[in-house]
Amino acid sequence: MSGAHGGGLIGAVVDRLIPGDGHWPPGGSTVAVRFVEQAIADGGDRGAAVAAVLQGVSGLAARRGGLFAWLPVPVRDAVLGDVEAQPGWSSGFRMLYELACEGYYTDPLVEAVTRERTGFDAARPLTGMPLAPFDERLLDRVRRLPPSYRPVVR
Amino acid sequence: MTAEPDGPRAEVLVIGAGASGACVAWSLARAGVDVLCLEQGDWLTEEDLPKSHQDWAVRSRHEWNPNPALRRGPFDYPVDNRGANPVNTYVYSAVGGSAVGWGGAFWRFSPSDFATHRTDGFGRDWPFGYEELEPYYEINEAQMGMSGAAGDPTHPCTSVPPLPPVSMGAMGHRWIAGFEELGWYWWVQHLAIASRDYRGRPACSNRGFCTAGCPTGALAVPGTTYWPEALAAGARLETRARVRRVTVGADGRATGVEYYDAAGELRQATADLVVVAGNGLGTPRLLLMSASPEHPHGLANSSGAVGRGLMIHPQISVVAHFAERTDADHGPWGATATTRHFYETDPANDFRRGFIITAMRGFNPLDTALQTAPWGAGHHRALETHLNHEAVLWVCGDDAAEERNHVRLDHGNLDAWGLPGVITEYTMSENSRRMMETGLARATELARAAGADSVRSFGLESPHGWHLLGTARMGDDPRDSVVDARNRAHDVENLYIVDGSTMPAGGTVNPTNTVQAVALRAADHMIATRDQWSRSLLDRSGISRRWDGVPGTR
Repeated sequence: MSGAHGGGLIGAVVDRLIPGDGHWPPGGSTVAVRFVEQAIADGGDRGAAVAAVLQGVSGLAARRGGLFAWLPVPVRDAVLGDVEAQPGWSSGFRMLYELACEGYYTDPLVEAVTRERTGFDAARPLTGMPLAPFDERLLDRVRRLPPSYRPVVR
Repeated sequence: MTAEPDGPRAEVLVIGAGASGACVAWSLARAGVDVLCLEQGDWLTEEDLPKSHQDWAVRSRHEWNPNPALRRGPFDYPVDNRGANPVNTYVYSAVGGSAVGWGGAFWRFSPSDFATHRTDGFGRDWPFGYEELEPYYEINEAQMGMSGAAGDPTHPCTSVPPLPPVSMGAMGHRWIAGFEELGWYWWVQHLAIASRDYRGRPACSNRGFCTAGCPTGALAVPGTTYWPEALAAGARLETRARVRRVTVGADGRATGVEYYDAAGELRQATADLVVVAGNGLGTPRLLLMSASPEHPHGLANSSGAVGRGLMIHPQISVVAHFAERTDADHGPWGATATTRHFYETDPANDFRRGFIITAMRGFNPLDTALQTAPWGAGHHRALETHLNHEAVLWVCGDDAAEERNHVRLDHGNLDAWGLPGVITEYTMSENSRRMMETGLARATELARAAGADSVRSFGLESPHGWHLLGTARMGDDPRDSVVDARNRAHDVENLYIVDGSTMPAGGTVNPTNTVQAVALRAADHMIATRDQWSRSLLDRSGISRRWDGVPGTR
């Protein structure tokens, strides 16, 4: 838990937005938490919207029995679902989710799992890799086709 | 506030250092013309490019977002997109313009693209044909370093591209297998990407995701192709220079511009000739901001066509899912192959003109998650289903200029200099909708032929606005167009407009190669007529002449 939304709220929320499993770390243990905190600290429309959503989460959790982080997982998910469904909070909820994903998929630990689980190597866009030159013989069939454009006589 | 006449002077002022402005500055400077370019943005450094950083996918969504309304960069002007299909307008403010965050697709228009009204009763005709542009395409492809292959039977071009095709990898071969299975025409993607070391630029290292910037320089951008040679030839480039109006003298000729320099000081730059190269949004914005008692509806706008007829190319993306991995983490993003099989009007269709389908690559983890993965328990299952198992087919079609689709000033939304932003209004035509429905069906067919087990697609409701065209159109009739066939304003004899806004029809392929070819052609006309507009040459000759055009150069 950290920042103005202490008591572990941000981490607990991000944990439910992007839950962990046997392979993937939970969102709350990644830099996703820092991304959300930073957005709130930066203020602006996005920071205000996300902060409002977290306040909403906190308020709905209280009505369901206590701090969000202490609620059973199904109840936490129900709280988030209720917040997402509120017209006044839905766009802020989407921003929160986007921030969580931005942080999560930037975390080196997550990048390593991504590579292991999907084959997508996040290092390649930074370093590149060799590929065989294009073999122009692949064009042979098409080259033999008749012209297929409309000549225009002026 | 009036600008003091203490600013710089040049024979030619070019407004905008993007794809077309760079061409004009390069061409004029090499001919010995004294050129000054004013660019609202700045030079990009490696630090500015997302792909120089580990968090490049995040940067691509924010400070590098192609949509200025989302990017909110220091040099951007506000853009508010409206209409039944509000366009996601994509423009950058930097040396290189919008050709800094692009994929490098580099096709030539086809002959029929210049005569769609005459051949198909669709849109407007260009006042010249393909053959007029051919030599300028050649120059441009050499200058930008185009990779590709000769012999495409869907185009009359016979010249050999300066560089061989870029590498495709396994995903490219999968797409080719699909094309071959269907027996369609297809061709290797032509790209402004160096497949080999070329004129100081290294060969592409297959980092992929080209629109997130190319730190190696393999992707051609004006800042690494035209500008170094233009500057070496004597052109001057002033960055962070926000032009607020083109000034006009009592004789009706442009005298220069008023602009805010990097320090925020209002200055007057003077010139014998003014060239506007601000793209399909920035150019009409500047012309409309240049309204005066003599030009109450905006400069060069006696026709009322400035800002009217916005074209964007209707586009739809089909994302194909494969059981096998798609190598989404490498390879030039816009490359592999494109088909022009459906390029021309087919009487069997319920629409006129046609479309291309470009076979591309997959998305990064962040974008895949945001597109496909819900929050909660199903998040990773969805991500693992989609990430590195998808690749994109991009359908791009012809778009007729319609008066209802336009750009206008937004006086309620000002930039950092207090100048108005722009509003775009766009509603997709029924012809475009039908065309895209067919494009979606054909792309789905191709995906299946290539082995895809399912497809998803992005809708048409908020179309991509990479190609912003037609808002200061070219034509022979001054009552119905802004510039003539040489890109010279009908209303102001020493004002040229050289960017994509002058296209009377937008063709069906990515327009950058054509935008630049048109600009190079216009520059040749400026050079050929220099003795008629250059004060230094006129002073030297001791005779007074007025512009009378160059007969026989059309």
